[in-house]
Amino acid sequence: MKKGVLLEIRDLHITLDFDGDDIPIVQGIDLELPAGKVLALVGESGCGKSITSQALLRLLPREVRISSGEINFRPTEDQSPIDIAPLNKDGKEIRSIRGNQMSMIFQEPMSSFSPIHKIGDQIGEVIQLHLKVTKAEARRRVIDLLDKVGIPDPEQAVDQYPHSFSGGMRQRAMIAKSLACNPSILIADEPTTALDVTIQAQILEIMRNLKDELRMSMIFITHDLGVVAQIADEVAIMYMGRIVEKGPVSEIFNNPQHPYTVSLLSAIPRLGDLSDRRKLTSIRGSVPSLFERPPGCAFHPRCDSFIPGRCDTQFPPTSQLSPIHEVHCFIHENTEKEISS
Amino acid sequence: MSRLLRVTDIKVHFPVGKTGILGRPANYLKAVDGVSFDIQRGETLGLVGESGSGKTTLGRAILRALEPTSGEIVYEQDGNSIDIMGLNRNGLRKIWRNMQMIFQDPYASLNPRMTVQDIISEPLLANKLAKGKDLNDQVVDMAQRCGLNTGHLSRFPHAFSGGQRQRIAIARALILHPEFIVCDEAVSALDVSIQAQILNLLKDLQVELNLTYLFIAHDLAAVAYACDRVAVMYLGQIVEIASTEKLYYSPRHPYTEALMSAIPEANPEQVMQPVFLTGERPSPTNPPAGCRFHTRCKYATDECRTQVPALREITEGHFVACLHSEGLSLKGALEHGKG
Amino acid sequence: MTSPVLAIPKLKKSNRRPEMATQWQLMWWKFKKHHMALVGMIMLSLLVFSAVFAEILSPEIPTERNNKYLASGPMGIHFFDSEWNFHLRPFVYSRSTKRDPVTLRKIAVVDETKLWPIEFFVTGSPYKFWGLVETDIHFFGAKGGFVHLFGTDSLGRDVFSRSLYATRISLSVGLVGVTFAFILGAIIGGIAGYFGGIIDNLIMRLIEFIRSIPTLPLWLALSAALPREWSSLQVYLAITVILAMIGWTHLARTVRSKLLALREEDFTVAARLSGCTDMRIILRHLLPAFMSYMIVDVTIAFPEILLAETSLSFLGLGLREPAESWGVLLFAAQNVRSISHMPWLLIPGLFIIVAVLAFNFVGDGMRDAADPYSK
Repeated sequence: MKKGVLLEIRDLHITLDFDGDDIPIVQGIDLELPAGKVLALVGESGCGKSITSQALLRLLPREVRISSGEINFRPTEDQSPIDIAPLNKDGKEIRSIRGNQMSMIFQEPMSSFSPIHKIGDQIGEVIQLHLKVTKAEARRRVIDLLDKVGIPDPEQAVDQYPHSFSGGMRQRAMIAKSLACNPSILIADEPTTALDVTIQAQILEIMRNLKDELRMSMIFITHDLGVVAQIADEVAIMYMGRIVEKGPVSEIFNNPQHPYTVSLLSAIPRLGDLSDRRKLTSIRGSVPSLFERPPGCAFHPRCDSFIPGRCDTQFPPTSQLSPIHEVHCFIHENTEKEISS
Repeated sequence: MSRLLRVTDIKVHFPVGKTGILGRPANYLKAVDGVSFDIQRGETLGLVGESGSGKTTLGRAILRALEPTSGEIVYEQDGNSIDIMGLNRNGLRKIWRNMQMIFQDPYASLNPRMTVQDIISEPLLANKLAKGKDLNDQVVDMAQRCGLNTGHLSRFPHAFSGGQRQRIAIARALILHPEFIVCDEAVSALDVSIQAQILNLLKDLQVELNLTYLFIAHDLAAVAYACDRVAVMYLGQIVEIASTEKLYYSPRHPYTEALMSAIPEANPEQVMQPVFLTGERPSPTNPPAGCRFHTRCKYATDECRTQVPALREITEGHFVACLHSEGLSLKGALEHGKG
Repeated sequence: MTSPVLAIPKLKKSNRRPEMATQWQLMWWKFKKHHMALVGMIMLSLLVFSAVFAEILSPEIPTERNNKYLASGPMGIHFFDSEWNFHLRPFVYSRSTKRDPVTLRKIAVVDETKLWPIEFFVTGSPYKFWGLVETDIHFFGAKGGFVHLFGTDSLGRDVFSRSLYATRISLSVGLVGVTFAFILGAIIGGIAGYFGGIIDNLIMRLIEFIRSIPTLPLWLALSAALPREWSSLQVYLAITVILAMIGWTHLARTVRSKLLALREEDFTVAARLSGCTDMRIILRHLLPAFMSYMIVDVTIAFPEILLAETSLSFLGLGLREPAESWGVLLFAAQNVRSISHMPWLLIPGLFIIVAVLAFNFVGDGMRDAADPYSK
């Protein structure tokens, strides 16, 4: 593993068992999460971004499994990396990582809280489970955490039940819970999708503070390119189980190279000049179902730069456009050679 | 432009709390509480607001798909003013040929047990407007206009992706050639690339069939793209209506300002600096006295706590319900980021 | 023997794509994944099969008395005789009658010297299949003697044959009862859910009242009111109606709550906006949508009615001899003496357990499968 990399995914394949048939969901992705950075996994529904994040904590649904690949996790620089992929799904090792060194926040915050216990007790429980502290210390820490995520009156909130919290407050409480044990990595799966725009802005602000002040490393899963632009350092664009382009956020937004990335960016309505109501550039067709995956580059039936006989036969190899910008597309096949020669 | 629809002081209150066998409800949830506005023929009026603002309820109440508690809805048809609140069941069935709705969730709005052909032809059959070959021709024609593969009409809705289902829902809404469509979060559940397709489709159909839209959405960027005018709702009331440019770039209500500042712009150089609202949204069951927004407004004064601001026209076509609107200098969208 | 499960051809892989499937196909695929439900389905198919072909499958007429084999236990079917010679054709040992020197009762004893081979499609006592076709073919029988797989009761009647006939009666009581309950439930629940308001309120209170009455005393009272001189067919019909009177409440609740929920669904609002009349909405849009839930509920209501019939008959208040039902058969096993002397009389109880479990498994599987979009 490279220096300064916390988590490294190597050629990860994930399959769905559909009545005995193996349907690939994720087909060989490579990713690196540098310490203190926010990596955004971006894509439309069904691209495999959520499944990938669940695979990191081995929280995959029963019929979905990792079929090959490595997930190397190194909590601190001086430790040797652990490969998460072959661990027992319910074993001791993964449980000591889950919630402790890597934790996750979800789209629907209500699902991670039990309605019959106080918020404070539920977060305190996580702390006591992983860290050797007394109940009083745990409680103090919970109040600290609630304060940190911007919950007003944390001393009072700690004794409240989840139902008395609004959606935004619950999302904050969930972030507090996921921070309880000082994890090295925070995985956020569409954390703001279900929220109103003003609440979303607040949650994004909190997450940005975590990144800036605590140097928290995050994997941020979303379909919202606006949110990506606001929070991410590194971006990986996924389409049908593959990463088609990845690079730093400014590269992806200002210099997109994959036709899919280009069309995604031009498909979103922007607030630029409203008097000029240009038509949005849409991508024709729709994302095929997992059962009808097109051969070769899965995007080719919707792509304007489709090269017959090429794109529909084989998935394009990596084209390293620059040391930090990587794309999988045949139109860039030769660009790389120019750079390297 | 002529007026198509006038809504005056419409209210939708839902009873909440315990009701005995004959008892009265303890309280009312005031989902929509006195809303008035006009829609001009051929325009797209956006309706934005956060969850619980009552925008979806309002959209349904205008069609009387949900019974309003009080208010007046007047629809202009061929020079006649039709009082929608006064219509009986049959009158409503007739007026619904002119007023239709597209729903947010294309999974829930299409009956899973009917084929696409059946779904699209249902309005024609129910109104006994066509049958046989004529029916089939009309369905195929509308399906084509909405970009559906006509070879797949005998399939069931679950065989289609979200975007295609929304096309089916649009075809159903348009098959009777209505003039007015309520689009209730019609693109919110769709993927980015599909959302653009549907927004474009709605725009094309608007020109082609001379449609008027009430476009309800929480995605402010999509609204900016789709709408000529936009109304902002907060706790069951409209706080501001203006043309899209005015509302987005020079809002006059503090709530609109907060909304605009919170739009995450897809530009990593433009770091957003949202205006944060303090506190929580009050319950629509017990809305605050005075201006409903005063509990979260940083410009609020004592006056705001007691005096209810009326929706008034401050410049031409720009209506605001704020006592201090003239004295505030508020920032519009894109002015909040540090670029 | 083919069960409905096995009769459905295995779908080709290309046909299995969910994109192309109808609702019922989707349900079937999901149902198939539920292994216990499949087992239940197979058990039910077997029960239904034996109910339909009870006359043919049973070696004896259930009213026939075998004086040579009174109150005696099950006869084992063997392939090896006492000298360990293998016989390709299975056989039972012959029985001869002796008088017990102490009690002076006639008892049957095993005679290992003589074998009665089991033959298939043998001629035996004549009967009318479904009361229509007169024949004397039985699926199996012992050549030169008799075979009682589950033994005989104190009158020498074959318990196996009686169990098969009882399966027919018990299942059909359940079926007719459930049908009555279904119709009542759908109409009353439909009225409550559709009109809402005060009517809904009254109907719901009525249902709560009916459900709060202890069921056993109610049944007892109702069936005690049946005239003694009624024929077994009349009693049979009356019993099914009594069972349905209780069973409808649950179904009515389901119909009402589903109707209330579906009334608010977007597709119902869309149908209303499409100009559909209320009748059209109910018949064309709502009914198909909750049909699957109704079927699930009926599957779950079935064992309730089965058990109710059994309890009534067991207490002597339901069906009575000479009619056969599982409850009637168990009625014979009511006292300790007969259980200790003739434990095989409890075998019909196994049928009840199997049937109830099977229905519950199938109901579980259907409930999971009924929702078209759940995972």
